[in-house]
Amino acid sequence: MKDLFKKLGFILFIAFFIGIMVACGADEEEVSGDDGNTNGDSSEESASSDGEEVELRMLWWGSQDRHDRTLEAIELYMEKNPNVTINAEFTGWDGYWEKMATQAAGGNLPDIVQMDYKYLAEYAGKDLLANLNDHVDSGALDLSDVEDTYVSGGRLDGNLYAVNMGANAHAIAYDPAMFEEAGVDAPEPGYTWEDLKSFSKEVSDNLGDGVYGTQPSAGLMGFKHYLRENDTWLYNDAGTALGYEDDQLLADFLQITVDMIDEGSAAPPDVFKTAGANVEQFPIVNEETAIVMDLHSNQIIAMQQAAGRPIELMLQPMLEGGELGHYIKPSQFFSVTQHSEQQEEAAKFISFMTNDIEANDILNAERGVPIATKVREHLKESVDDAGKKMFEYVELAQEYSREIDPPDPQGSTEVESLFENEVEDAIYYGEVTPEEAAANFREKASAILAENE
Amino acid sequence: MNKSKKRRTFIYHFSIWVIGLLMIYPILWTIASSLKPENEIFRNSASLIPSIIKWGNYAQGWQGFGNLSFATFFINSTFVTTMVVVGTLFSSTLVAFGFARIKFRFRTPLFVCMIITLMLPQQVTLIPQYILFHNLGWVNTYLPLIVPAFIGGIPFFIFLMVQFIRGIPRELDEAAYMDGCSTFGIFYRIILPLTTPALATVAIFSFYWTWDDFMTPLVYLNDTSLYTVALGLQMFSDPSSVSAWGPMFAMSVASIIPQLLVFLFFQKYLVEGITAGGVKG
Amino acid sequence: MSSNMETAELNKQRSRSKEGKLRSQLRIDLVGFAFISPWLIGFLGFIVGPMLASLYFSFTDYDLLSDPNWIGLSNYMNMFTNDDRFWKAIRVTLVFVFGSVPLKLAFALFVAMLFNTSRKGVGLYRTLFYVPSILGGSVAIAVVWKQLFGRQGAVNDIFEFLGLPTMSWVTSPDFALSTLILLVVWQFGSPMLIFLAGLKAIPKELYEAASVDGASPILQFLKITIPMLSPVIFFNLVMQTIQGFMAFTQSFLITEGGPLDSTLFYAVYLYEKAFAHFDMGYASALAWILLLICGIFTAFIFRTAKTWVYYESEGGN
Repeated sequence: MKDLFKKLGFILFIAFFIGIMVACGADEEEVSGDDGNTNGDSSEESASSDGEEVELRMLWWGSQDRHDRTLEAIELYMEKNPNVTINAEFTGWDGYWEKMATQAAGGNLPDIVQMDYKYLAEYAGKDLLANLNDHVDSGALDLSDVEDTYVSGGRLDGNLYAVNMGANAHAIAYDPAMFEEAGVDAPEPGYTWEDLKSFSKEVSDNLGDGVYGTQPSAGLMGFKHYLRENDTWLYNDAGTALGYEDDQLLADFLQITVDMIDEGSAAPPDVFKTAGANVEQFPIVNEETAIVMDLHSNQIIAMQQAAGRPIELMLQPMLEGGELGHYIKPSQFFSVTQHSEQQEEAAKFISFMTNDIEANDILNAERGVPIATKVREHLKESVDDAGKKMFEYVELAQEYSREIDPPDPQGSTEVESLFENEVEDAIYYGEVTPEEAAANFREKASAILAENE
Repeated sequence: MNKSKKRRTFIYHFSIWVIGLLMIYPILWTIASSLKPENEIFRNSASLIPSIIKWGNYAQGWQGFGNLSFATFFINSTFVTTMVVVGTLFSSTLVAFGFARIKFRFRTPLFVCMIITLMLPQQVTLIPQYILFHNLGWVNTYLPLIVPAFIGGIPFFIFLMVQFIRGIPRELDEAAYMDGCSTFGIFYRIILPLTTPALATVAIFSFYWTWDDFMTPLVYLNDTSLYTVALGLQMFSDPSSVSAWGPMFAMSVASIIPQLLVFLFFQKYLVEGITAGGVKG
Repeated sequence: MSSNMETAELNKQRSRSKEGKLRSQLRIDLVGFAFISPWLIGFLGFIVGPMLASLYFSFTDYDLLSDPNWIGLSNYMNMFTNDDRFWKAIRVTLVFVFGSVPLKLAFALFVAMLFNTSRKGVGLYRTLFYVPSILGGSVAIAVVWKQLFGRQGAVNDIFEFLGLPTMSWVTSPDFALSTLILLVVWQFGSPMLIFLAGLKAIPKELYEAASVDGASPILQFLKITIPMLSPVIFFNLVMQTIQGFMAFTQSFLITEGGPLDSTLFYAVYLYEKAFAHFDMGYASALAWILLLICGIFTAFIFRTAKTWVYYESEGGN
């Protein structure tokens, strides 16, 4: 008994000791940081250069590779601009948006944040993101080498709120070896939804039990693409109602999945639902399906790594007599927040990440295909096999693209969960008919969007 | 030793091992995955035996992010967790003694208040709490993680200690009063030693909860050099791009080790606890 | 605080002379508040404010990113009249609580009894059995569980061997919730430890005396173990119930509330409203309703406690 107290005392002592060490460590860091700054000051005096000390906070999500690369690129920037200090704050994907929301509520957002297309309208609409137009005009943010298709995704009502850090395109992926084994021709650009059904069926039939042609997708991403092929969009321009008139469109789209599951050419939900959002667990990795629908082009890298064999990217199916559905989608953005007192400096850094060849050699297109033409041409030569596939695919998709629709309106995250729960999953599990799902979706989505009026 | 007793012992151990295997299967799986090459973790996920053993996952994981290795995260976590354990032991025993042994006015309403605080999901108090700590200038320090433990932030432990203290016969206190012991003396000399098993449980739980907690450090810490192990673990994964699964599993295994050590250290007090002579009415 | 003051106070409390009663009560109050002051300061400083803030938010339209707007009872009205998923979440959560709590406690008590011996190797066994609880809500456990109960998981291998039907349990709308219940039952480590600590606190003399009197092990269990352990059983019951209502990670990490909302825990729904739909006002209203529901159940358990919880210090029932 006494023993325990003695030990607890010891632990207390150690804790105290470590506490002092950590505190000192933190002090030292701060001091050395200050030192760095003063050095910067003194060198500045001699070498002139621009202005005073700048300290920027920058927040992003990602995994190990991205953290390492981004940190190195930041280092490079600080070397080239000794008056700037950038404090890197990074996390994984989980929790990122909670951290953002809490900091937004606390008025404490970092200067630069990584932004997702899905949340852009919410944050820009609440006046949390800075309009970068002026910085583009002043030249602080240099987008002269960037084609407009790569920039437009970050605009809302003509104001630029976010700069694309990597281009992506909607894609499907297939396993060429499985197609060969099944003796079926792999899909070519220009194939249609009917073709998809028929070669999926063939693959399923030829490869035997437990192997399916396609991992189907009745998700919103696919439906949006389908709507574009029908020359309409999910939301109206004001974001106050659904943009398409005819519920038959959704019913037809869902019917494709229903038919494919019924015919056995697409995998039933218990085969693919376990994976959730993890590309590495998709059934194609285990050769359980030959195709997976509704991907982003940069996911090929993770998928090929997990599968350990070649996987190819292909366009979405076309609609006979329909419009082009593809568009270039920003994989993620950098935005400058309204809480920032150094918006111009932040814009300069984003410009550097966009245009600097050296920095992009470090970043190595990990966030998607770079948007500046020079950088893209340069990197195309040096990326690995999966990276090359991504580059080539985005170029291919661009040929089949037309302009991207405006970012989703406020409330769209709620519409997305509605679609997932009451349309997509309900269709997979055969709980509703396509017609019922379409009517139900219209009713509930309209109610959500009406709040934007 | 007779035969039937031997057989009983055998059955006891055998059945525990069978259930035990079920218990540790996930840890075996995690260890196996931490040693697999990236293209085998999910391709061959049911297998517990990697085709080749890839120690590189540990090296790559330990390396961390930029020039921030897991050593930093482990030091940070150790510091935060130790402080929280100490704080929790300190506050929960004192407060519990107050609630369990002293009949002050408003005791019941205050106790009810404490239980009620357990029932409001953290998600909705997160934002106001953040604003509060932000105004105190505590954001980006360890204070929001540690201070609440010292001022009884975890009612679970208070309630636990209350229950244990109420189970101790009051005659012991009264005898001590007679001997001229102060209230604090009773708390320190009589009650605390008798609740050793409960204290050990509190220590184990508060260690594990703090070590594992991801939301609080995520929200309050900005500077990555302050991050804890739980935060470091989730920085490997990003479903929208390439997650580093191998290193993540490797570091998950590494992160379990301190927890096991702490458990092994404290669990023997669950056994020693009160010996038969300890309680004499 | 000087000890002779305490003694005086004790004596007064003992003698209960009417005159001294008030003054001595004041002293007792002071001592009491001194002991609970760490909690009281934290409660008043860090807890009450945010709680009241969330109560206020529940009457507003608050999207986290801009200022809250007062809308009165709309959130509550909407919840009860116009929100299927709210009712679904309540149903799922109740099934989860009633399914997992009794099972988990029974299992934890059983294992704790098993380990309450001084046999060789018990320390190791305890550790083995505690391991699942250490893994807690990590990403690793989510992947493992999905793998275990997936289509090609170990569970199906066993079922196939036994000639039972196989399926992907964790993605089936009918069985997903059951696998999550199984998961929390399997993580029984924390109530087990508390039971163990409680068992250790039971004086061995009681059993010795009972054995001398010839009481059977079952009788000893019913007449000694259960009553002596009742404060701890009570604690575990209350805490597990509350934690059951608050359950979040299991569903969030493994099934994300699906498939078809079959594992939509209340806290998961609340989280989705708050952080995915930016509707903190509505989420706060949900939270206060949860507090109410949870409070009713807890109050009920406390009410019944008088009849079955035995406190050594209070001379029992």
